[in-house]
Amino acid sequence: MTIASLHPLLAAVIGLALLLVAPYVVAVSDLLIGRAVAGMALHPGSALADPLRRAALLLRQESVTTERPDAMLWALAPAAYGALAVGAFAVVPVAAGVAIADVPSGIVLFGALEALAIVAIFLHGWSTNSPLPLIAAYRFVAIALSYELLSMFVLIAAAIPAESLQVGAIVASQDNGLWNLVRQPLGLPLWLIVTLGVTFWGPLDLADSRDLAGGTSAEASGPARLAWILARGAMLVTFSAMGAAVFLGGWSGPVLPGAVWMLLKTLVLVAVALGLGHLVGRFATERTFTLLWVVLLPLAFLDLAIAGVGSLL
Amino acid sequence: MAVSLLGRLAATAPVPVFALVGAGGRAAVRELRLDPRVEVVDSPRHATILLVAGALPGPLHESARRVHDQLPHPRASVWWPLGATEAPPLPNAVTVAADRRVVEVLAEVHAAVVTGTRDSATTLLESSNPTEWQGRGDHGQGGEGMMGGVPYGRAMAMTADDRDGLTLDQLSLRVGPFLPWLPPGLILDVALQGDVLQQAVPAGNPFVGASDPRPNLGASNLGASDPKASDRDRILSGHGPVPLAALELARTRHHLGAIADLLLLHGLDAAAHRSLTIASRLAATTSVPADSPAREDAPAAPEQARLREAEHDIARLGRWLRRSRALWGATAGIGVIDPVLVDGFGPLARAAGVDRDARSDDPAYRALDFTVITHGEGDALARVRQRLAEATQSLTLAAAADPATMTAATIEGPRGPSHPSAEAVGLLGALDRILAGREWGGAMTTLVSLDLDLEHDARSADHEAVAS
Repeated sequence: MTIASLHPLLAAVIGLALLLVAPYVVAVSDLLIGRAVAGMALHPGSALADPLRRAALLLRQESVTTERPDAMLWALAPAAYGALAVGAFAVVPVAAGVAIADVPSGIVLFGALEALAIVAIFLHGWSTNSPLPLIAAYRFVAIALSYELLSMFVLIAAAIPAESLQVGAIVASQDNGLWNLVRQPLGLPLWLIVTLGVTFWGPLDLADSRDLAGGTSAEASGPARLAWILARGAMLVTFSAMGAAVFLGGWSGPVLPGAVWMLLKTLVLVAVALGLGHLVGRFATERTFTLLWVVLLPLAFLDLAIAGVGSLL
Repeated sequence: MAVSLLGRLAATAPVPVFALVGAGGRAAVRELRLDPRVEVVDSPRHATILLVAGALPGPLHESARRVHDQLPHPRASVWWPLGATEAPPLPNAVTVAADRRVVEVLAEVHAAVVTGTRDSATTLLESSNPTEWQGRGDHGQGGEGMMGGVPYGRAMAMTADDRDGLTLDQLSLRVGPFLPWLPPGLILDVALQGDVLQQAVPAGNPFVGASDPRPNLGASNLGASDPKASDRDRILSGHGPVPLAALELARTRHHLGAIADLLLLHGLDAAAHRSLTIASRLAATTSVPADSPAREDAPAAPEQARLREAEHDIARLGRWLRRSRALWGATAGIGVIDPVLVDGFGPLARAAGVDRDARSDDPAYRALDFTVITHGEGDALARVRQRLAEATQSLTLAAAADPATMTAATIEGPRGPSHPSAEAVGLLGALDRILAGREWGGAMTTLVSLDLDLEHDARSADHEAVAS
């Protein structure tokens, strides 16, 4: 299918929105979901203002340094993670026939950027020259290969019915109303696990978790910490958008414009990821390893097999 | 103007507080988490305010000053005495007066320091190396080749045998005494290979022999509707007789607090909020501010309706945890402990299948048809289930007991029965055996689920010393 590339200026606006507006939406949604689970009053007004207040505080705060850090890589890590989020988002169509760069090998590019994101997370911890972030960085990298395998199998399975690696073509292959959510029922749950893993959110937060006093972020403060928070939010939205495109039919839907459907579906997946963060405790590292290799990876093979058999029928 | 606007907006953000928990401060800091105007953070780098809650014993003073210097500017310190008299070693720390709410003070100091109307706290320690250059080894760092040694007092990784017969880099570190999720005051000398603890040796108990009188020590652990100071003291040190209803309410609040800690560690803040809210409501009195020490001396008045409501809420929390399996991935099979290691530690032992509870021998409890609850698995999840079940049981007992009913002399306190100091130190002494071989996350889960309390241990030891 033919997908038009956006005007560079419009693409820049979307990229900027992903880095600034998307994390804000993530923060507000997370606060509201957390309050709902806790049984607290929602106070939407304060929830809307809260992320702005926190951001202002971080902007007023000093970015502390540690003893002999790799300062360049420490500064680069949030920038790289954010840039990779935007780069990966570029291959996802935001509306019918519209994407920043819906290249023919979209899911391959997405996977490559995902792998680099893992490097950025590692550098964020390693470059501080501090024990707790360092442990978090190594712990995350040790488990990240499992996410990569899972991610690739699930995306390739979704590409089989489309007979294309282009994300726009995968969305178009669901135009008949049969979303991949239905014909590959294992795909979306597995993708959600990949999302939680690579964006280290909720039950799979092994990079910035409390047991390591914030993990790779334990030494971060001020604007540098704000940049990391923004990049994390952007990456979560990117993965949710990919999930919406590949498993929920992307822009397709009645009455509303395609871009609105895409936005709504992305927000639903963001909410599911955030909800899981409040409902499921962070998994023990060993258990995560076992689940990934013994249970989820075989399920990803099965997902691939289902997609293959489905395409032959 | 722009900076001023930014400053004003920043001043209204939830106050990020890093808490140094001293004697009597643990439950108070837990309850602080219920206020949305404050955020208790895990790293000093994320805080504006360094809060000292309770009395810091002398051996922790240097560490407190070190943590102080890790806060980014703008920063300030606040001391919440909770009845203690010996001020922390932080010059210019704002003291929370007995008639002030701590949250209001935190918000005021935060706003002042962020907007620049109050100067940011200056650095207390010189930036110097712990020791001089060692000057040994191939590269002068005191090790072998390019590894090992302690150049400038900082240990470098050195190869060592791991538990699987391989040789891997091993890093020696000292963690604590204010690392979140380690019991306040605990310092561990750890040897790490990857994220696996090969060794975790505690470096003593800084609360032993602390000079501060700690008049509210018991209050912060037990809460408002609990008995007066003398009863609280006896409950804490494990010596009766005390009012039965008060002891059981104390147990409920204690267990809910311990469950909340474990939920927080695993990122389940909302569920922790629910647990802490139930505990707080059990202590709530309307006439005294929630964070006033005076509140702790409020008369005990267990109201039946309040107890029923709390029982209902705990049951809901328990159902939610069971059905959602929210803690399964984090705690099931994690921190399994040999019952022998925790024998004498009440709920920990019962969660490992030890059918022993001092209440079984107490006529007052037998009159209430008390039965011992146990769980056999002995892991962190079993300890959560044990605490939930005991919290509910305690509310039932408190509701059924006559307010004048007293326990026997030997009581089963929230942490276990009266025991000699040698056993109190036993859990601390067994830590290396408990933690060795666990990965970091599992070790923290284990530690939090054990609910180790050095201050309590020190107090029990003090009590035994006085008694003997």
